[in-house]
Amino acid sequence: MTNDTFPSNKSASGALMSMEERDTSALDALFSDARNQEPTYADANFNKIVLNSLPARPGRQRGRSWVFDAAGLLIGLFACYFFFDFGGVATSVLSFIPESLTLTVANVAAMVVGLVSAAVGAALLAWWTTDKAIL
Amino acid sequence: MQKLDDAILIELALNKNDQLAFGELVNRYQSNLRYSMRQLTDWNEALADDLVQEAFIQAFKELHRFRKQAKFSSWLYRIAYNGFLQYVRKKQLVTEPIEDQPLSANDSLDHQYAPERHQSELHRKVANLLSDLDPERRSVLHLFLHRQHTQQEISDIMGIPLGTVKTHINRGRQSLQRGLTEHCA
Repeated sequence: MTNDTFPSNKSASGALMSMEERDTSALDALFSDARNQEPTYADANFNKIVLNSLPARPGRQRGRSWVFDAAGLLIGLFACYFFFDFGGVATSVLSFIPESLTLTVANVAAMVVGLVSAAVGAALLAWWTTDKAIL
Repeated sequence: MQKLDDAILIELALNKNDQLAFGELVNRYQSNLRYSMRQLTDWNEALADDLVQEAFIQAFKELHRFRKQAKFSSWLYRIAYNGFLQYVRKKQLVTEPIEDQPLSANDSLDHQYAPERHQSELHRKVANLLSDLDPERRSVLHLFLHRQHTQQEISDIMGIPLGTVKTHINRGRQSLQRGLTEHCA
């Protein structure tokens, strides 16, 4: 906990106190009192009410989670297969390569691996972002 | 040690479906959360307890999403705060005058743990001051001034940028001080 950002209750001398500190000292004192006199609200009845309202099982099961993830992956692959313009992408990539360059098998393989890695990376990033954003 | 205990309870609740383990978590964190929600809802006790109850149920449902490196209390507060925000957005929070507040079912419970009357008035006064701020600023100020979290911690708990937290604190404190001065005048 950093003390430089937190309101202190110390009684600094007037000369050293900034205008803001002087302005909000009463406020800090009020919250300090409230903090020191915070009541306790723990009771068994509330606990029972919450426990009686809980669903039978917590969250989704891990098995089901994989089913949903696998289903999403399959749908994505089908969508790519039917709607993705592979020829267009190949033409675009090849247009970046100078005509004077002779492509070897290794060059093409490296290019394919690079493109597939980038696509998989983007898909994983999208999945992670969505998964994290749900709650 | 505290964090380790929480982690074990969460594992039990998640993998063994041990509701008593989750009950221990409820027992452990209900007091702080119920107080925090009272401060955010202008001391509307029934609403605050409803929000906390919903937060615990939501936490149980989403327990598999809890990141072990985070503090369970912070995660829980965020869920409760999100519930509060949803409530405000849907229904426009009705701020009832304290004198006209109807007796809630929880009043009997509160009496059981009732602090002195002047203490109760102190907390209501703080809640009333906070109610003049918009919900996000209210929560930031509560976490900063009452819970004594750092600005970075508040940013993490609420999922808002650090700069926004700083702005809320600077403007919120001035606003609260003005409200306090008017209240005393």
